[in-house]
Order: sequence, then structure tokens, then C-alpha cells
Amino acid sequence: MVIVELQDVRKVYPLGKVEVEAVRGVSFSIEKGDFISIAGPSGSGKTTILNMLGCVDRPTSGTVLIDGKPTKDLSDKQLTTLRHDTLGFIFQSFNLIPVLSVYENIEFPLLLGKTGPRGHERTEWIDYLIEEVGLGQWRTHKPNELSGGQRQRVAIARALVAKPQIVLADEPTANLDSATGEQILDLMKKINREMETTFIFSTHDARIVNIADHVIRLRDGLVSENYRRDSDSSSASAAESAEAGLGGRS
Amino acid sequence: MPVIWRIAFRNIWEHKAKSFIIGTLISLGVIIIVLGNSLIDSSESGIRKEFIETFTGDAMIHGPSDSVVSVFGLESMDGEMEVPTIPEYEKVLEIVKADPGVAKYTSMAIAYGSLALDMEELSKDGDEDSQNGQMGSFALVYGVDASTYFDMFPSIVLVEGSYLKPGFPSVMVNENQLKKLEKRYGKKPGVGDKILINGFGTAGLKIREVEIAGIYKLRDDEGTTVTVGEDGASGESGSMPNVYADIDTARVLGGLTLGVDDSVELKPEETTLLASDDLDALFGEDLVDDSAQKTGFDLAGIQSALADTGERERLNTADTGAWNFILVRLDSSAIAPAFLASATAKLSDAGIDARVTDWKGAAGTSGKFADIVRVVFVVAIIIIAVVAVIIMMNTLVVSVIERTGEIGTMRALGAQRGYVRKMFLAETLALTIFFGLVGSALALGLTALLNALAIPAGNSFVQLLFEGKILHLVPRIGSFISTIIMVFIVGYLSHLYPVSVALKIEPVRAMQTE
Repeated sequence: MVIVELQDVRKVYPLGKVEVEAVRGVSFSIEKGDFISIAGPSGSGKTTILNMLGCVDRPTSGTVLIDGKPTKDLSDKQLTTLRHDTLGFIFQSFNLIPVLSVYENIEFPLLLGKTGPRGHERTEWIDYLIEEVGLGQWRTHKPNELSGGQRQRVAIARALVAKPQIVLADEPTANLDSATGEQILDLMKKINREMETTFIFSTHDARIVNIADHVIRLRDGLVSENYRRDSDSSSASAAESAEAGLGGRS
Repeated sequence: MPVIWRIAFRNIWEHKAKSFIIGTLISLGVIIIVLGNSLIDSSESGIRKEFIETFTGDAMIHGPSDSVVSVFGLESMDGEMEVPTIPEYEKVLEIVKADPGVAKYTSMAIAYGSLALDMEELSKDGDEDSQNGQMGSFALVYGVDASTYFDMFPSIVLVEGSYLKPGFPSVMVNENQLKKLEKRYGKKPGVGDKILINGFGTAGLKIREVEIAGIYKLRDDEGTTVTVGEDGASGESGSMPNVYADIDTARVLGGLTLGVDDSVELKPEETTLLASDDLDALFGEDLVDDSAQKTGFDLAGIQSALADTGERERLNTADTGAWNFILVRLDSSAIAPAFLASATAKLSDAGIDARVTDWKGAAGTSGKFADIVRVVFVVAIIIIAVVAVIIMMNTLVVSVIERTGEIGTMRALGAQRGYVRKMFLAETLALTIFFGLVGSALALGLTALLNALAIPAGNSFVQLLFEGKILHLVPRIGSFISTIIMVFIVGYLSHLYPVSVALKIEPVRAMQTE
């Protein structure tokens, strides 16, 4: 089941008198439960695409569909609600709220909406996530008392607390050492398997690309490769790569 | 505690420098407002008490006038020279007596004059005083009903002699007035001595010789002598010009006599002549009565005409129905507005054109002193508040810019704009209310300290402001409440622009800066 779809999406940024076309007509679809890597060198447009998928940025043209709904005509309030109800974010710089503890940071998305577990059920769920990310002894600590890896685990837990359908992760391992990065990836893979949460990574980390089910490579704002790792992986990969070479349609 | 308040309080704690700047501003502002209001309240209370208990009572009834009338006479001269009398006085008095809130009442008349001991020196007084630029022995003559007046104003204390005796021409003067007379004449009059009062009013100059019945002073509840300046307001001269006289003496001096209102009946030809511009006609020989030259000198007739002093006697006979003021003390000053409304309505219903005013109106310009000070104070506070808003606003904008990433993250996670707005409002309110309370506590402490220092009043004017000889501030609950409300408003206004800056932050930009 397709959960995310981009249809000929373009994004242009004004840079003084010049316009920079960060995304030049990209189309692909993502299945529910995918562990997908959007890879490419710096400036290829992967973060831009992730931002549009996350409804924090709007395409200049083209259509982004989240769970079948086009986002371009939604108001700011509707987009915010969509982000809250459907998406989870894991930022490159963790983006934790400095004055809240580990527990409170994870709980924060639940406090913004009217959905989600309540009361004792909520506490149990958050405690479960804290244990799953290995931070049981740090629940009352503030972010400035944690290491980079620990903060990223908090960010992962926060991204999952509202049980979103899609988790968007922007370079989640960029600020981590390799060992920690491996741990984080294993954790996310585990969650992907157990909770069937769709993970979309924007990354140039080869490790993520290697474990991803679905890989989309970008170059200069266009899709250069788009393949899935399945039983008939070689033929599917070849077909998608060729299609990508024709203009980036999945 | 809701997370918004947790974030607010923790951010205040985390950004101590910013919080301290804003908090200091707020606390200082609160201290200034509370102490300032306490001082003004004390002044107002002192002035009110002084006037109500010494001059005006809680309310005053007077005659109709286009000028401003106070218990010191006319305050503006819009063509009028005479303090109006109360029309249908007996009916007005009945209305006053019938009001259940009235505790005491008294009536009085007012005249202006100067004091002297010697007829020959009387005319020189004015020249010397005008050369010296002094008021000299100017007297504000209060003609009072002795049986009720001094009971109503117990702060007028007899030092020597006796109170005025009804029907007997006499006065009560103060020590300072006697000293001035001593300085001028080389001898100090005392109780039982005669003095002259030269009254000047619209009925012409009148001189009355009266006996000094008593010497008085003003005393407050602490037994302190309180003095009021020569124009009835507080002044550095410290000498009251008031001379309390029997009512008939005051009436004559003030022109409230029987012959005053008599009109002259002119013959038609005399009216025509006076309207003429022809000087020859006005001074022509037709007007000369030369009958005496023709008929001879009639001594007996002339003596008979001169013996008729009826006109003169009428002009010197007080109009016993003439009063300028009725002063009223109520059971409680708090019911004054109700009494004013009731009395005004009853007078109107009765078709009587008399005016009712409260103590402040009766005190005239002097009573407005506290109001003027308060207006100046409020203007100063507004200016301070505007400056405080600007400083707080700038500090909060810097804070918003520093937290761009945090705000963008919240928005990305699903926080609506209203949530961000509430968060900053909570932070601003927490700051303003907390430091408002700190400022209030400091103001209370400062008040206690100032009261403990027992700062003395240097002169009579400051005594009036301090409501006594020593500074004693009494902050009122209303002052604290209004101050906190004002601080809340300042805080709210301060947060509006920073929040508008915060709401313009798009999640994508915030994530880029993190």
C-alpha cells in the first residue's frame, strides 16, 4: 500500500537575484512499512525532499500525497495537524527541548494533541519506549546531561511516541560515532519490523543505504536510482534504475 | 503542572540574565507605583481630613453663581464680585435637617477685610503692605452661628477667652494676627480689647469695631497645631487669615444688609436725561434748584432731613436671613455622593436655585492639590510604563531569536501557532506576576522602613502632605491590585511583538538553524 507519493515535484529557492532549483521534477512512491533511504551527495536535494514529505516545506510545483491526501492545498493549521497525527521527526541535531527532561521530551508530542494514550496507559507507553532506547536510568535528566547518542535515542523515542505511520529521519547518524550509529540503526530497524512504521531516511551514510529495503538516489535534484531490495532484487533494481535515468519516475 | 507553564518557569530560570533585567524593571516599577500611590493617598487623606474637619464639612450648599464658589469665597471673577447668598434659606435648611445621613450642620457668611487698631492708621495699612508686597492684616471674616459652628469643627481650639457670643459684636482671632498688629502698632491687643475691621465688598467700605472674644488655634488629632496659608491653602506663611466673627458683623462687612438691594426709582424725564449724550443738557441750568434763593434758607427743614437716618440704618442693619453657606457633616464621608445627589434633587424639586458640592468643591483650588499631584504622577508612570514595555519587548525579541530552533522544532512536531503564542504569554506573565509580587513585597518592606525612620515633616505644608508631623505611609490593597493589573498589562503588551516574530518562524527555517 502506497503511503507517500511524489508527483513531478519541483522546488526552487530564490538566492538573491538567482533562483536555485533544488529539486527538478522528482516522482516516486513509498510503500507502508518501507525502510527507505534517500541518498545522494550534498546539494542533491535529499533534505529538501524530506522537508516536503514532512510538510514543513511546500513544493514550488508538483504534488505530495501523504496517505493519499495531497498536501499543497492544506492550510498551515491542517499541515500542522497532519504532521502531528501522521509523521514523526528525527532531526540531525536531535532538536530536543532543552528545559524538558528525557521523559518530558518524549511525552511532548502527546501533549500537543487530543489523540494518543492517556493517564496510566500513557506513562506505561513512554516508559516502554525509554526502556527500548536504553535510557531507563536517564528519564529525569535534561538533554545537556546526555551524550549525542543518548540524545538521538530520545529523539527516536519522541518520534515514535504518537505511533506515527511515517518517521522521517534527516541524517540521524551524522553526529554520532560509528558504534553508536550502528546501535541507533539497529533500534530503528527493530521498530520498523515490530511496529511496521515506515522509516524514510535522508542520508549519505552507506550503512543506512545498505540496510534499507528501498533506495532512492538523487543527483542534482533528480532521481538517478530507485530500487527495492526484494527476492527478485536484481531485475527490479535494473528496471527502476533505467526508469530513473529517464526522468526520475518510480 | 501543564507543560506550557513548566517550559515557562524553566526558561525563566535558564535565562537568568534576561529574566533579571526584566524582573528588575518590573519590581522597580511596582515599588515606584506603590510608594507613590501611598504618598498621594496619604496627602489626599490629609488634605481631605484637614478641610472636612476645619473648613468645609462633607458638603457645602451655596447660592447660585457663574463663578466658582468655595468656602473661601469666589475663586474666579467672571464679572461677579459678591459671594451669593442661599435663596430661600429656611427651606434649604429644612431639606438638610430632613436628610437622615446628616450628623451636623452649620451656616456661615463670608466677608473680606483688614484688621486695625487705629482709625488714623487704617488708611496707611494698605499703602505700607502694598509697598512691602505683603497681604498685611488681611482677614477672611467668617460670620458663624457660634452655637453650631465650633461643635462641627472641633479642631478650632480656644486658647484664651471665650467663643463668640450670639448677638454680641465680637471676633476670635489667632495668635499670628495679633503679632502682626503688635508689629504694626507697637502694642499687642488681647482678649477684651477692641479692634477695627475694615470690610470691603460690593456695598462699599464698612468699618466695624468689635471686641476680641477669644484667641484660637487649629489642632489635629495628635495635638499638633496645623496651619494653613493666607489664601486658605497650605503655604509657608503658616498663618490663617480666618477671623471668626458674629454673623451680623460679617453680614454688614460683606454687604448682606437690608438696604443693599433697594433699587432707586427714577422719574421718566430723569431716565431720558441719563440716556442722553448731550453734556449741556446734563449740566444745564435747568437742573439747578434755585428755589432756596427765592424763598430763603430753611434751617429747620434741612435739620429735619438730616435727622432721618433710616436709609443709613438700613444699610448698616444685617439681613438676618442672609447666609452664604450651609456646611454639613455626614454620619460617614462615604455617603457624601448619595447626599449630594439627594439634596440636589430635592432642591430642584422645590424650585430652589441653590448648589450642593462636596468637600473638594468647597475647598476650591486648594482641594484639588492632591488631584493635580496624582495626575502628574500618573503621567510619569505612563511614561515609565512605555519605556518598560520597549525594554522588555526588545529583551524578549532577543530571546525569541535565540530560541528559533526550539520554536521550529515544536512547530514541526505539531504545535499550532496558538500553542507558541500561549507559551510566550505564559512566560511573560510568569515573569511579570512573579516580579510584580517581588516588587510589592519590597514596596511593603520599604514602606515599613520609611515608617520606622519616622521622617519628620519640615514645615506645615509637608505636614499636610504627610497627614501629620511624621511621614507615615499606609499602602492600600487597591493600590497593590491596580499595580499588579498594570504590570500584567505591561507584560502582555511587551510580548505581542516578540510573539509575532516567533510565529513567523517557519519550521523548515528553524530546523536549518538548529
